[in-house]
Amino acid sequence: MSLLMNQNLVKYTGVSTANMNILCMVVHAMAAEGVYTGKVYADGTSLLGTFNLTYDAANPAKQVQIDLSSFDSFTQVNLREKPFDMPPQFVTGQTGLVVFFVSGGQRNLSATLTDSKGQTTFDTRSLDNGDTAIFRLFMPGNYSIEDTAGQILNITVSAPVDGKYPSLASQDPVLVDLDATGFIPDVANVNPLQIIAVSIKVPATLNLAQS
Amino acid sequence: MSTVNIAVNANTLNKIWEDIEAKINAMPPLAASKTLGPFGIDFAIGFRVSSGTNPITLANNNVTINNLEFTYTPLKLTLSVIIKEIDTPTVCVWTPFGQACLPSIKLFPETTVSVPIDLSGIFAGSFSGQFSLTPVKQVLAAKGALTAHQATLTADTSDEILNDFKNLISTKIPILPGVLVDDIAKVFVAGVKGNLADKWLFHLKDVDSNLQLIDIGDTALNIMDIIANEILSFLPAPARILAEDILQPLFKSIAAALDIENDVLTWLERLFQSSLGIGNMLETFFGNLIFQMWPVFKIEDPYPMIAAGNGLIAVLVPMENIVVNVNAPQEIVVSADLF
Repeated sequence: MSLLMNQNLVKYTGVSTANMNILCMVVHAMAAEGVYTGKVYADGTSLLGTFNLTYDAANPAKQVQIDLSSFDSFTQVNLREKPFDMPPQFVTGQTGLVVFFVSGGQRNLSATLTDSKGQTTFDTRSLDNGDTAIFRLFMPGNYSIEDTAGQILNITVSAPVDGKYPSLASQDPVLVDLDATGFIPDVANVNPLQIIAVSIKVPATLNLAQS
Repeated sequence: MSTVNIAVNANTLNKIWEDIEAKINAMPPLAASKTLGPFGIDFAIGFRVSSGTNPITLANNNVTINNLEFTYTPLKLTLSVIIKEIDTPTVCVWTPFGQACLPSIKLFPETTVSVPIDLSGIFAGSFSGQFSLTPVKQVLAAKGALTAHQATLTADTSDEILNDFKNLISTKIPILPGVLVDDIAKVFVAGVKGNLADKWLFHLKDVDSNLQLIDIGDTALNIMDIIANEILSFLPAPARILAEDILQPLFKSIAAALDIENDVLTWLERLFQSSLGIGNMLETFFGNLIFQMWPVFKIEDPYPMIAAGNGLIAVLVPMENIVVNVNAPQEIVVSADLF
């Protein structure tokens, strides 16, 4: 028997911050302290589960990571952690960073946060100033990320050179800004699994597709 | 008191040897499992004997087996390796609100990889040995209270000989699994099982023997390439390149545990002799075990001096003082006193 790799890295060659899979993460900073209700959706409409998120600036935790696929019963058997029996409780502190990600599964996922007054304060389907979108691609080739305004970031994931790739541990993230003028820079060359971090300054949904 | 002399010449022994050659070729492969460091290794070794013309000669008061040649087929090693889960390294990125550390991605789940290394038909063996001929008295418990005449006329339907052989094999080669012990024993039982009469069984007893490994095929094999290719075979090209890089420490530890080197014959000899103990097992098997399960010839005791016939029972005469002389180069003479 051979070594098997995570097939999701090969299967997916596109993603949207509005419908996340393993290729994309979103980092959001909580604006106000409080207790929030989180909801996780599949394909934008099917509610998979809920969670509670507390932001307390005095808490020493600098961030919390929330795996959206842990709410999807189709993928729970393959997860590192056990599925939830009760709505899980998450806590973040300091500047209130929350990392939303998808570790596996067959469906694309999104999440919302609602405050105690019932106001939706964050929706991964609609990112805004201060949010960071993270992309991590595996298969070599050409890709593009397009925002809501039609602006494009061209990405090339490199093929091996002399049959070699650089060590995964030695690769720094590639940093890109998105503002009203577009992506800066608007071209990125990366190695497989090298992080592309897009710092968002304007309301946006980012869609990545293979060119 | 009279003396009986029974002569067996080398030609007869060589004809009898054809029977043992058939038995060896009918045997299932010797198979067992061992642990080498953190890795498991299963092996299956089968033999095909080609002993040429008249491999048995008589010399120096011994029976000599000359250059018995056999091919190792199958000769399969299966290496079991547990490859722990491999994740991407943790990466942190700066956001406008501070540094966020991102979760790693599971690249490769924990996998137990079984790597077959097939060396069938590439190596051969050469066996030579000198043996004395030793008489052993067989008295079957299944005979019970039967008289000598009754025992001569009664077939042995018990499993006594089979169980004796199974016990012998499992004692001499304890790493063999029970099912295989059973299958090997059954191959040899048919040549020994007969009636319930007491018998003198004349076995070859190892005086000096030598088992050598010879390469006869393409041994320009890179064993580590075989292992690495099998581990990575299902991966798409970019993943394979990444995995090869990540798994270099594992490949090095496999090579160290197996003590792999470029000369495959030398490596296999070393693996056989020290790491896996197969060499000892084969020496035991060829130099010892086969001959304990295969008597060169048998004499009933009491000896049937006159066979039954014309309504008369056989004339059976007890034997004592069995003496074996090898009158090289012609014959073996077994002498016994009859009472």
